[in-house]
Amino acid sequence: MSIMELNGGSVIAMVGKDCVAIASDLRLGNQALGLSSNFQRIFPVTDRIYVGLPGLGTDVHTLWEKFRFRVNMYTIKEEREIEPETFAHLVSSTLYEHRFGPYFIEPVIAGLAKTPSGGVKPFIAATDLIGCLNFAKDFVVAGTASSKLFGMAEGLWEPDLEPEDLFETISQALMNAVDRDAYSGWGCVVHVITKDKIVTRTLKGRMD
Amino acid sequence: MARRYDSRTTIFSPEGRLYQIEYAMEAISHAGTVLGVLAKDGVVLAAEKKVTGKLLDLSSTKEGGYGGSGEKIYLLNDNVIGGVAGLTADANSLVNYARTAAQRHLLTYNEDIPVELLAQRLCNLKQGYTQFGGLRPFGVSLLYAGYDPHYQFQLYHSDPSGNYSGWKATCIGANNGTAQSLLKQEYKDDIEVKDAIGLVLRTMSKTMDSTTLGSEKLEFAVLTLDETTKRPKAKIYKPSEIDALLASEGLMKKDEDTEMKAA
Amino acid sequence: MPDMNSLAHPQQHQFNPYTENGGTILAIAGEDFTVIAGDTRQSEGYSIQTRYAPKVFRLTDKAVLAVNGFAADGNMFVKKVRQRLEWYRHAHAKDMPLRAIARLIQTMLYARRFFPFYVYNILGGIEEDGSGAVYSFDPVGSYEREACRAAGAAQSLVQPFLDNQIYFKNQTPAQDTSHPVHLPLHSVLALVIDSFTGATERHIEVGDGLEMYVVLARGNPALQSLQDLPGAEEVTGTQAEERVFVIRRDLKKD
Repeated sequence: MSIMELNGGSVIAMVGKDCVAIASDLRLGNQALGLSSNFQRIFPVTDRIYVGLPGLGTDVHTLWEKFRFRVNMYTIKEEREIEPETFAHLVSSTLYEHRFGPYFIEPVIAGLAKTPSGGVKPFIAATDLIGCLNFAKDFVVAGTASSKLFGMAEGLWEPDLEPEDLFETISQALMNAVDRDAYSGWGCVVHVITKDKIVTRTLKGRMD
Repeated sequence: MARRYDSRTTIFSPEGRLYQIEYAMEAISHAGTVLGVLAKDGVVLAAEKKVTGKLLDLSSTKEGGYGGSGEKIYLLNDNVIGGVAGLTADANSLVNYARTAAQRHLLTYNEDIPVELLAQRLCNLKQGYTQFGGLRPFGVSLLYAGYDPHYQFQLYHSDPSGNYSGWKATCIGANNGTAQSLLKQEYKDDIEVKDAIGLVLRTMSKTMDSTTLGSEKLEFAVLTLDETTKRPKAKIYKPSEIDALLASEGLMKKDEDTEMKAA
Repeated sequence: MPDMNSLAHPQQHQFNPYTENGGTILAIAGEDFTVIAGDTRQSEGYSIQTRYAPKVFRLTDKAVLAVNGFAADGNMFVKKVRQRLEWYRHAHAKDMPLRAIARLIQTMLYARRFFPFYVYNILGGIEEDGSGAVYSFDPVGSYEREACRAAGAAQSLVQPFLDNQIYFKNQTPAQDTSHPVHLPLHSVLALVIDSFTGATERHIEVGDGLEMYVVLARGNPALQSLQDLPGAEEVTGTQAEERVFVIRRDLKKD
């Protein structure tokens, strides 16, 4: 029995043209038994950063609260919101603190970074459960359906997708991947982050 | 005689006094005034800035951040604003402690820390320095303007001994006696924030040493409840906003040229 | 020379008759054709044994078999199937129909129920009614006819992609329209190439080369375009009406 697969769940993030998307399934299970079809594992960090925490259910909450603590302290001391890349390093160092007794979570980060010219630059990253950062330029995946997500994303993703097309791409990648994973599924949630708004949609999925 | 007792914080004098604490409080009564008024629908804080001068770099206070120039008024948590009087260095340490304590509470209970509990956390720390040897007490008094769902809006004061108390309106720092008697006369139980703002500014203008009132000598903050989210909304005013507020309250320092023209 | 200490304890040795040689295979049935494809890398652990070891084999002019898993078992299994097909031809003076080959494979696999061929088989070709067909098997002979199937190291990467692109899973057709039941040959070939380039990108055991067998039913209008396709080689054995082609493509070698 793998702890990483005890509760199930998967997350994917993708880069588009001046936008990013992050999506997850909604299942919480205990091995083969399904417990919840509304388990949120993606959290807003700031107005333009989201973090997805697939892995052990109890660590999803604990780790998110730890991140919130540290981000709040950063915000109140620094008197500004944290940048996505800074947050990625915060995630990484927080996980590495527990190098020999880790949280069983593989975080996925999606956000828009500010550029000096006042624009935004899409940012995604993922880490393993001890904080090894992966700054990908196209997409990152994690969770029990990760191999299926890799296959889907590798087949569907293309550069410079507009927000609506990015939404369709990430949704199809996620839905078809989790349909082939017994530990993921039971509905999905998708967040598309653009310069001036965040669109969140909940998707119906197969309930088997 | 007193020499024997006042150099140690943890030793009582024969009269049962802790001189170091009293000296700390004395130091604070010369510090910049901090004034708070509890209203029905919010809390108002104002503070007198001591470190001024045209060579002081205030560029970072003009925009960004939460407002304020970071000398007297600090955001301690989403639901609490703190006003400090005394040693600035000590205050920074306490502010940091308060912020961490508030976040620790949020981590444990997933709710904003109650205002009184936050005051207690700081007082426990401050009290420790009156009892354990080798260290001096924090030379800081604080006002806490806060909100929690149980007791709604609250205003607390804590001093270097670790004492704390709740107030409808109070003042710490220089001329706090004058300010408090003024507040006593003018405070009404059902006062609203919009009137409390006026009360605070008028009291400040009467207590402060300087004759003129402007953003270079004043920090100002209001804690209210956001109508839509029902969450506390802390607003620390930026210098430009303070000047605008003073103008609208008719307390702006007089520009002599315009006065001449008007005459 | 064993030391006295190790001789003092009983030692157990076990021969493991199986290994896993990586690679991925895939087959998609069209209305009047079938594409059966596989990469050509053969590996053991982190070592590449060869960059060209075919996993897809023409059995008859209307049947192509892809084998994946333990290469030695796979090759031997293909040899045995071909032997049975030749006996059939001698006895009946015709090629065995596809559905009969599928059943034969089941029987042959199940005959080794307790020492199985460690191989996943995908059989593709043309049925007697002229339709494209894919049969997929597990190592002990469970099988079903499908429109598409991926197997092997990158099955988990490729299969959900095929669900989406072939079966149109999770896609809703626009108002008053419907999804096509069968895709045309050029779309299928494009999907096969995309599947393998994707799998090559993310899976270390997939890569080097790609072999796509195309079996055309009699009178398939795509014949001309396939004959004109550069790099497409006709491998039809007899003067049968079905035509078999193989298209080879390079895949990344890293």
